Amino acid sequence: MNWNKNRSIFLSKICVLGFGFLSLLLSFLVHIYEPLIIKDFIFYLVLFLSNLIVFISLRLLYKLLSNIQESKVFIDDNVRNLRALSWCCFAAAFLFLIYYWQYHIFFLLIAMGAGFMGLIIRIIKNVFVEAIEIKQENDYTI
Amino acid sequence: MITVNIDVCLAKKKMSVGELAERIGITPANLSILKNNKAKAIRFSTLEALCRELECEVGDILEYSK
Repeated sequence: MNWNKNRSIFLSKICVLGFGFLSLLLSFLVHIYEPLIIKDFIFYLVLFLSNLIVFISLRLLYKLLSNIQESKVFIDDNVRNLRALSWCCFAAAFLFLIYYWQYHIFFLLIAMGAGFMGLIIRIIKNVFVEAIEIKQENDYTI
Repeated sequence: MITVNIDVCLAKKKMSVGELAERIGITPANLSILKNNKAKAIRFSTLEALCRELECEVGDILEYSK
């Protein structure tokens, strides 16, 4: 099978959808193993909010991939998507900080991971902004 | 700022914008960007082609004003 960029983007889209399905599955698993976890309103609220963040992030990733597939890479829409994605990561980090405060220090590590992810995406967004400027300069060079 | 004046030379040669674009090897859209002073830069190769087809000097095409 010849590998090309369209197949790569298609695989990325499948992975995004697969991740969404996995996160739903995880939520159900948590429900099944309920007796092992403290029945707590905060726990389920944070779980619900984190699921919401995951689905918003996956939607943003899918939009990004769709744009890239149409060869629309360095556009303002993608910059907006990346900015929103970074804020989703920061929101997830904040949520896990609540878990850390309530339950276990382990969640602090996950919060740090999510925060770092948000940082990386934010810097990639900055790179995209510069790339758009360079592209525009190039587009308007006759 | 630098302004691009193609119209005068075009009129002298009695050439249309589309024909000039084809002769230079750029799209009419790009030539329009050039004509309307929306371009950020011009390649020497494009400038050379313009001078060749319009039979004029660089100073006839590009003008500096404060």
